[in-house]
Order: sequence, then structure tokens, then C-alpha cells
Amino acid sequence: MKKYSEKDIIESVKRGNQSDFSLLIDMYKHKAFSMLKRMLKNQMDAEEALQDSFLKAYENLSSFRGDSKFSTWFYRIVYNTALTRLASAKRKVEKEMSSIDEHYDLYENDDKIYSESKDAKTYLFNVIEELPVRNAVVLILFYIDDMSLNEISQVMDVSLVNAKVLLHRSRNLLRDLLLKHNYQEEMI
Amino acid sequence: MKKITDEILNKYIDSELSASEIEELKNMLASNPDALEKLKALRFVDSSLRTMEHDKAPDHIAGSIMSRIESLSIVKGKSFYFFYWIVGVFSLMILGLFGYIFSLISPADSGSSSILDNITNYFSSFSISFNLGLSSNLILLIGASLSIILLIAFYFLVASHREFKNSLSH
Repeated sequence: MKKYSEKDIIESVKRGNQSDFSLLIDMYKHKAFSMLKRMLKNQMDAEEALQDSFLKAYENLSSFRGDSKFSTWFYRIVYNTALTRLASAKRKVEKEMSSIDEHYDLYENDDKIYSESKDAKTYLFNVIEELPVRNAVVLILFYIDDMSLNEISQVMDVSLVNAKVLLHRSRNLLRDLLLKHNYQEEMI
Repeated sequence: MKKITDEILNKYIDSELSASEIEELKNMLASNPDALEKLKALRFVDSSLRTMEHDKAPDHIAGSIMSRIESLSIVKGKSFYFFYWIVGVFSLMILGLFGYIFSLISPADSGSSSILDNITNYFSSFSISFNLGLSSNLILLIGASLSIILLIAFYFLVASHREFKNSLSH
């Protein structure tokens, strides 16, 4: 059976083969869902935003000319869809604009997360669920989706330097929390 | 390198330091246990994050999206049909109007054999007939109908534009 490339599928959908879009959905649904779940911190919201993102991608696919990777173009839609949802829920200021130092939610929940985590790695993954939107997104894109900082900067519409700073700060925050809870023995 | 900063540790993790910088960092770490501890923790964060996996999207999601796309296409198709219907009716009205005006004209009455004369007579009689026609109730009725159709078409144009803007913002 012939395996179609991403480019072939996009061209096919553009020619009017609507059902081929399901192949793109299968390619990206888990990746986009991971990002949305950590941005919106809610399974239901993430599911709805995922549907909206794919719908927007379908409607605007004709404007995708292939100048950038499809993944970058699509993640940008996903990221903006999530931000719009956060803004409409009047949570944007709290979640997106806050810096790590101002993110009291994380520090308030930290003890609870620590007590519920069996080891350093579990603790780390649980903390990521509570990170501010932009910090969570940069880690997901960099580590799970293997995106370069350049691509991340395009998705998040920030400069390359800012994307790098954001990645460093996010890692430093996780590092400091690990040290705070004396997980040193597990780090050797 | 005067001091071991967070930036340098992050650069080390991302393999952005040169061989000489790495050597220098190692020498400094030997006498700086706090920085060494930070580096170990940072390395642990980096290696742990590399093992992270995607969350699984619900199984039904692809089906839900495709059915939304299909229903969207149907709605779009319906609105296109309506647009074509409006355009078709409008065109027929225009043709009807011209047909009515031309029926009032009798260019063959001129008796001239020249095509140019025929055309000249045709339009001169057209002008007279049209002026006469304008005063009739039928022309006023046709004009009013056309205006209503134009207004309806304009309304749907504005509505579809608004819908498009909404789809962009949501």
C-alpha cells in the first residue's frame, strides 16, 4: 500500500478530497491535544479547542502555501485558538501574561503536587501540568514535538531570543523546584 | 567565564558551549558544589522531559471533526445555491426589462437598408420608447422589484461577510 506524504495529503484536500483531511487529523491530533491540555488545563476545553483548531486549519488550508512546515503553521492555529479561549474566559491575564515569579497558583499547589508524586520524574510531569501557558507550551514543543527554537518562535509569535529565554526560565523553574524538595539523590 | 550563570548551565545542556568553554566550566564546577548541584538538577530535568509522551486525544475526535467539516460544507453549499438563485433571478429581471423595452421598438419600420442606419434608428427609437416606458407603471414596478432584490442580495453579502469575520475571531 502506498504511503502518502504530508504534502500529498494537503494537495489532495486542496483539490477537494475532503475525506483525506482525516489523515492529517490522525497525524496531529495527539500532538495538538497535548499542547491544548496543558494550555487550557481542562480536558473538555482541550477537546473543543482541538476540534476548532482542525476546523480552522481545514477552512484556511488554501492559504497554506508551504513556505513554512505544515506543523509550524498548524501549531500556530492551535496556539492562537487556545489563547482566544483563555481570553474569552477572562483567564488570559492570569495564565498567559504572568511570569513565573508571579505564578502563585503553581507555588500554592506545589506541596500538594509533591505529596502526590512518588518520585522526582512524576513530580516533574505533574508540575508541568500547572505551569503558566507559555512555559508549558515551550517545553512541550521543544521536548515532545522536537521543534527547533526558530519554529517555536514562529508558533508563539515571539523573537528567537525570547523563545530561548522562555525555555531556559522554564527549565530553571523546574530545576529549582526539584532542589527545593531535595530530590538530589534521584538525580545522580 | 568569570562566573557560572544559569545561562551558561543551560547552554551546556543544549550543547552550545565550545570545547574550551566546557573545559573551563568543568574546572570551575570542581570548586563550586552549588553550581554542580544545579547542573545535575538541570540535566535531570532535561533527560526526564525527553521521555515525556503525548497525551492521547479521545478516539471519537477525528469522527467529530470530520462530521463538523461535512456539515460546514453542506451549509456552505446551501448558501452558494441561494446566492446563485438571487443572481439568476436578478439576471432574468434585467433580461426581461430589456426584452420589454426592445419590444416597444420597431427598428424595421425605418425602411433603410444600411446597417448603420438601422442601428441609429434603432437607438433613436429606443430612446423615445424608453422615455415613454419610464412613465408607465410597469417600469416603476420592475424598478421597485429590482431594488428589493438588490437590497436582499446586499443583506446576504453583509451577513456572509459577518459570518466570515466571526469564523476568524473564534
